Amino acid sequence: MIKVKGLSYVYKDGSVALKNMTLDFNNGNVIGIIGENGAGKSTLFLNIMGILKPGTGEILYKDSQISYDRNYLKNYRKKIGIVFQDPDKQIFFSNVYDDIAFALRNSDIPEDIVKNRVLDALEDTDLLEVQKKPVHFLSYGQKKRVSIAGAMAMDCEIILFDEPSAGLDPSMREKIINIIHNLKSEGKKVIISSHDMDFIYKVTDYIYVLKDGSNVLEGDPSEVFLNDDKLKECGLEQPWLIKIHQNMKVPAFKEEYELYKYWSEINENSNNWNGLQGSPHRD
Amino acid sequence: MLSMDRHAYSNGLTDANPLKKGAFAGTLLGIALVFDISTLHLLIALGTSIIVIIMGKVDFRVYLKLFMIPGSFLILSILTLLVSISTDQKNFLISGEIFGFYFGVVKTSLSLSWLIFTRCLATLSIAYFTALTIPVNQMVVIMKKLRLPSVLIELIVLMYRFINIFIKSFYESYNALILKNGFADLRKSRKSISLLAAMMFNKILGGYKDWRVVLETKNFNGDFHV
Ligand SMILES: Nc1ncnc2c1ncn2[C@@H]1O[C@H](COP(=O)(O)OP(=O)(O)O)[C@@H](O)[C@H]1O
Ligand SMILES: [Mg+2]
Repeated sequence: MIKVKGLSYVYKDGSVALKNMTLDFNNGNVIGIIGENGAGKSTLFLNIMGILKPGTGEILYKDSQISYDRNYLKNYRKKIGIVFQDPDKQIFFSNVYDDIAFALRNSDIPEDIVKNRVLDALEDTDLLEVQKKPVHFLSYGQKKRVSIAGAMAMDCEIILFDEPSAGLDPSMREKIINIIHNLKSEGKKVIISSHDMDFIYKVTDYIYVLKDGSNVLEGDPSEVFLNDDKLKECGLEQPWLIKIHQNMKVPAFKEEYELYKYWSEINENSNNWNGLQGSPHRD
Repeated sequence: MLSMDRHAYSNGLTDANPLKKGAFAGTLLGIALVFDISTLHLLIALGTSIIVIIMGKVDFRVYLKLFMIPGSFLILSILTLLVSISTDQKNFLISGEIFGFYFGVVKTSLSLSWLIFTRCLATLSIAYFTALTIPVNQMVVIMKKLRLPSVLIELIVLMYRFINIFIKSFYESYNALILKNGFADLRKSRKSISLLAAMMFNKILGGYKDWRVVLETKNFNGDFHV
């Protein structure tokens, strides 16, 4: 639905943030944009949202170039939402409910629909019990989910997540992963920027690797992540399941539990064979 | 400020009807301002304090501490009201003489000071009753009921949010400076304070830019819908 064609962006101070970047978000349902700090991920997102206007190149939505007039952008941003990295910078209200409802009310949606959508979003992000608490009493992870709920309540076709797992503890990270899985199963397109490779490996089905504002590698995560040298060049690391796959000759699993299950099966087999050394091969 | 806010959201009266709480505070305030009866003022101060401490379950020591801050200013200013200067000794109840001038307390200023003092106590305790038992989201309900202009309500709601963000990031920077021994002596302290001011300024400016971006993605059209 969204494509980026030959996009370049230079900031006013002369820093070149994006160079001739071409991406096609029809390649997957949950798409990862990975790259080290300063690779250009956030700048790309701001361009996609129509906040920054590219120097050259174009952003295509449903095969036509997006326009920058107010009305077009207003409708466009009903279809495409974004969750920024720092929750404190995107929550305006002290009250969780009002903050999630904010974008909906700006779109003149009737209040009873607003209410249903907000309550759904609160439920999906597991925030029902804190909805009456003032925002500044919430934990970082809860605030992060408030900002996600704000985007979800808009019922967008596409949601961009800028570094969603940064600064989260393991259980909160797991919650975000679940939210993304749910969005995917609802048929939404999710685009995630991150340098958390394990996170990206777990949730995405197509990835783009950025380096210094250029798109240097793309494809299926389980293929792209095999390319260790290239990843290192980009300042990135393989997900641990891939490292184990490459260095210990076990299959490439997507989930931790699959590896454990596989491993316990091997142990069982080698016990049955009574001392016989079974080479770890999965049938 | 933050602790008062915390109390407002989690005290024994949080769930009470905000309009009733507002009307209660408003009525008492009216009485305290209209009637020049010190006993009445003291009764109001005592009554609201008891309500805040017993029904609101606010810790007595916390409450007392909150009173000490404006209380000390109150006492200082009452003292200056109380003492008058004259070249003549006769009107004074008690007085002392320095260089032919008489410093002392006149009967009329005594009763006036006492009245102002008790009125301040009453209004102060009403203010604390409001701040400690009515959280901001309920305040919005009251303000709407009073038909205050929505621009004003929006402004208050946003200021409240940003004050909280400001305090949070202020303490982050402040603690960082303490940990780096920024307040070891007077000279360093002076430098650290100016550093802190510059940091906060940059943060606010940076924050302003980010907020504008977020507002744009949320299709902000000038209305905060409070
Ligand atoms: N507001 C800005 N002004 C000038 N340069 C910027 C600005 N924001 C980002 N940059 C620069 O653009 C490049 C890409 O930054 P960014 O998109 O934030 O990367 P990422 O999100 O991948 O960390 C970096 O070199 C960064 O220094
Ligand atoms: Mg970034």
